[in-house]
Amino acid sequence: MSPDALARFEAALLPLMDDAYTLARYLLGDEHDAQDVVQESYLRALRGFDAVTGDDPRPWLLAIVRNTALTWRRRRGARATVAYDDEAHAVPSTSSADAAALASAARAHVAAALDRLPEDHREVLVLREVHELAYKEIAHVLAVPIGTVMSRLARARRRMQELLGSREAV
Amino acid sequence: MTHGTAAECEGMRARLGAYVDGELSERDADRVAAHVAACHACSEDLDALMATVATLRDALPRYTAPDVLHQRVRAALRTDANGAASAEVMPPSPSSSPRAPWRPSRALGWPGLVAAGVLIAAASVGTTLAVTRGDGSARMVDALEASHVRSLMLTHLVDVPSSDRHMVTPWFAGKLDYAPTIPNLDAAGFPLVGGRLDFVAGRRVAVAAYRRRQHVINLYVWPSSEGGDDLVRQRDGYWFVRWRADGAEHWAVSDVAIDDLRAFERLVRGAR
Repeated sequence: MSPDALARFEAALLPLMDDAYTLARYLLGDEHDAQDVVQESYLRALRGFDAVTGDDPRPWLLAIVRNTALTWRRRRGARATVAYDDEAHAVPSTSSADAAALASAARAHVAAALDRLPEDHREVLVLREVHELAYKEIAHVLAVPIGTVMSRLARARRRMQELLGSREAV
Repeated sequence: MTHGTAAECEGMRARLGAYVDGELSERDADRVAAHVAACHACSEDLDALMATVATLRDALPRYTAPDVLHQRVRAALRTDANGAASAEVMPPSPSSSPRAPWRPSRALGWPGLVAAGVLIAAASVGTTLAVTRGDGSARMVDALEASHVRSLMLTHLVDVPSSDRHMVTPWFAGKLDYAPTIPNLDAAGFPLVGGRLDFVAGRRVAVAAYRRRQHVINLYVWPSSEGGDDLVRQRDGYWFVRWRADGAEHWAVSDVAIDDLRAFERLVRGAR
């Protein structure tokens, strides 16, 4: 591959590493596994770069990350969990200690609820609420029709609403 | 237009998610908005949905890729683009032997845990590319792998089993023309298992074997006047770290997590 092609690849794809790492962490639960999967995903992306069409490489890369993560899990036999990590770079903290403590408890509560969802519900929820992908993009990542994305997402949100216990925000 | 029939509400409820996500056409979105404005039940559903979505977005973290991952990926891409063999970070297919502890492909009646870590990583991922070209380090890695397999077959990790570096270091003196620094890292959780001589890429080398919990870390040291960047590689689940300092080339090899191995490296480098 020419240095120029590599440079183009890097310019387009390296800025997406947070996205790739985030999805890998949600799918695998372990930060070291997630790093390995991200590395492997970028290599696969490099090899397939010529075939990419369209403007936005993000759904394309996330589809690769997802497939790589699934292969990883299949080979390891590991169960995916959402690892609640209070060192995650989450929302900016507010000024008061009370608010920070509440926010931390809320995050743990949500992470635990997320972990109880079936895998395909969890996936669609993460792609929508964390990655903020459009339905069409989610459909691409999951390789399912848009209608499936909509219904799965609706069910996942309903289930989370039940698990989180009430109508008001935590 | 009537609102509030069960069928209509059901149709609206199915679209609330798409409405919140901005996925409806303008016309459909207007319809939902109009219905919700006049239908108490649906407006409550919408509130509940929006609250749930807001909670999820606030509470689910977005992770930041650590610097070391950026370095690893860049290095892997460069290596791959240059045509070298890619690192095998993926676990083997289910049919092959489990990753840790490593077992040789031929059943050799391996004693077990102590020996499990004597491994040499082979190819091509580095966090920082070394100044030497890919060819040189690949050849070294091949040599280390051969040495590793031999040491497994001999089923011994050390020639001089001693956790006391004051016994191990002088032992090398009669056998090598250099004196490797073998630091005491007991306090940091890396007790010394012992030392051995090995033969790697045409040179006799000193190897100090340390333990980290259930894992072995092999520290290879030989004199070198070369400089160059650090190298980190991974193969078959083993990490492989090289640095050059104090007139010597050092390789630390283990199946411990990379953080542990880097901590080990820092300790060794810091020791005098």
